[in-house]
Amino acid sequence: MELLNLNIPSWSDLAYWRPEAILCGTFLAALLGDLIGRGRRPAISFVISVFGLITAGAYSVAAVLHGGAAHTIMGDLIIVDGMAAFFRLLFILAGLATVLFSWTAEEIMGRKRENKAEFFYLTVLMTAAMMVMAEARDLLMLFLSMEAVGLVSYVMAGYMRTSLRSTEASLKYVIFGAVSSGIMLYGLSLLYGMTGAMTFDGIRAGLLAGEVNGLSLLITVILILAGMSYKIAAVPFHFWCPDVYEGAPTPVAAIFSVGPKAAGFALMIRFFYTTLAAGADPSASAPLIELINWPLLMAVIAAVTMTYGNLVALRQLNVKRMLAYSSISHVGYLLMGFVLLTDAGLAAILFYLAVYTLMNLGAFFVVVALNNHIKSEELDDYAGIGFRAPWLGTMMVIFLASLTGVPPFAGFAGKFYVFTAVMDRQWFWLAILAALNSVVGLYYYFRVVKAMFLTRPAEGADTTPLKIHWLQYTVLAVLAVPTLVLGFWFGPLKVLADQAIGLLSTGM
Amino acid sequence: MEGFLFWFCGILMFLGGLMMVVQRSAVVSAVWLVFSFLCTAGIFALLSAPFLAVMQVLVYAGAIMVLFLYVIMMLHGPVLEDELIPSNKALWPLIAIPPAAVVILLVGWVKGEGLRTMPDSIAADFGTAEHVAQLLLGRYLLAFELISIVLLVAIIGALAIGQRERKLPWK
Repeated sequence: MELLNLNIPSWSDLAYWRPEAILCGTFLAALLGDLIGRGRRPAISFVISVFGLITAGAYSVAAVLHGGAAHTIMGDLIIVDGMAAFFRLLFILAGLATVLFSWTAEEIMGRKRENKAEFFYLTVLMTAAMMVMAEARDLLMLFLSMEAVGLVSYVMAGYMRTSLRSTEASLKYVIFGAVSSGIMLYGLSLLYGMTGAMTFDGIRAGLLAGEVNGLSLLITVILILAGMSYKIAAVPFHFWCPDVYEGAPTPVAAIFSVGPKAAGFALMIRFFYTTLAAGADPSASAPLIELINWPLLMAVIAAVTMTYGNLVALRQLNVKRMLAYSSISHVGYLLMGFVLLTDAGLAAILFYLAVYTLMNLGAFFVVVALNNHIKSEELDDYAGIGFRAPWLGTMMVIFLASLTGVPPFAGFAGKFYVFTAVMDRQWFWLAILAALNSVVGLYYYFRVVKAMFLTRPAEGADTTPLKIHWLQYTVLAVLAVPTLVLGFWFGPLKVLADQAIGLLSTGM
Repeated sequence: MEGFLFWFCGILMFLGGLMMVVQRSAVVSAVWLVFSFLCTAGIFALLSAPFLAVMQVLVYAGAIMVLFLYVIMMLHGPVLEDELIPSNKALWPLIAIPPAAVVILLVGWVKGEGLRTMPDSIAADFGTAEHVAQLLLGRYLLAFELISIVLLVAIIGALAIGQRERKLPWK
């Protein structure tokens, strides 16, 4: 009989969901705008998208300022809490920066491109779907939001459909995505079979009821992790990552490298934290984590991911590919925060994700800006480019230094929190390995700096100064200034991340 | 009897899926997939979900697969050449180990502890069209809307990637 007590949705709940609703509306409006302009007026879609993103951003900021009690929407499918608010702001920042920057990117807006408007409204929809990923509290919403982000990504990766590279990237993405979704779905169905519940809370209650055997839970968790590792590109589900980033247009690669990854982490935090770790009684959760030896499992995945990403990045001669492997290694650092499923570790992940979004988007955008002029992403072609575009070069140095994690840049603060979270619980080997990895990173990031500023261009090469569009400078400055400032004034962001995670455990 | 029917449908469904994967001709694969779907419908019927069972046959085994077959035949569905199938027979056991391990562990687990069984009594209208509709447009309304967005993106994507080179009048 229980099934028949329906939660008839109350529409007033939807007031907490304004940003998502606005973005879905923006998507439809921009789609219509493209139709009205008969596909030849991308400016209509661009303006609608920017306007919608800014409005959704304003509502998200207002929601943060009004204080963050957690609200569930439509029964228990969705929760809007501090963590959701944190990720909303992150995704809107990434989406807005990408849309604005792409307006002047040759790869998107070049004369020969078709369907230019498509890029803008798909980015808007991707932003909305990523927000739902960060808010899902039910297996159904979890899977659907992941598929929504995935489908948008497949289309965007194949954006340059006349280019063989781009089509290949899209196809690889689709096939890997389908396989990993299938594996994850199998894991989710096992979990449902074990606990008989679809909501995260119900699953947790079912697991704690004590009829679970460690081995079957371990298999289930590994199957589910397979699907999520694909989203965040952790080893051994990273194979698509370099090929897709290289084949897709660079602005698309830029948002791929931060958006779906951050959304995947948000989903993992909510799912594993709610089902396995915290709750009203923290002591009750310890057996579940120990039952499957979660810390060792995550520590090994983190260690392998960061080391693999870094070692392969060393040998890359294409800057986009190098950044792809570097993003894999950053996933390794981020996963370190997952090892213990403690509040400190998870807050460190949030902090690092915010910083990573700024610096990684920035580095990719510099590649876009240079590609507009030199039509190449090969390291050799970057020789002496720092003197042709000094400001652009300086910003690239800021982003790369921050990615390396040297003080006083924001990347250092991010790494610092992740490392301390791990060392607090005596996981020294992992911290030492991560520190060694950072040194390896120094080498390949600064190879780009060396090419830009210390290498002479080939004889007879073009040495005229590059003209960079003002919009590009503005977006880059908006990303570069926080990258610098957050390096020494990181208090507010840290407080925001702590609050987001703190609410996660009390808001249940 | 119920147990026998479950294993009957389940094993046939699995075999149908296996046959679908190893076929060389896309048309034959699709027919095996229809077979597998029919067995899935049988399992739904056993689970007291008659509406889902009918929908499985009508929509999946019927409408969608007919469309699939139609498209495959229109495109002269590919028949794999010999060299595309891995000839190294030594690799086959290696590929089979992970799934086999999972299956063995699962069987052990089911035998040892038992999966949650269905409740003894279920509501009279369980699994009927009304019940499904109540859930779909009540508790899961948001998921329902999300699916519509996912499908919309899929249509846009298919159009964007699949369209021919546009013939512009001024070119």
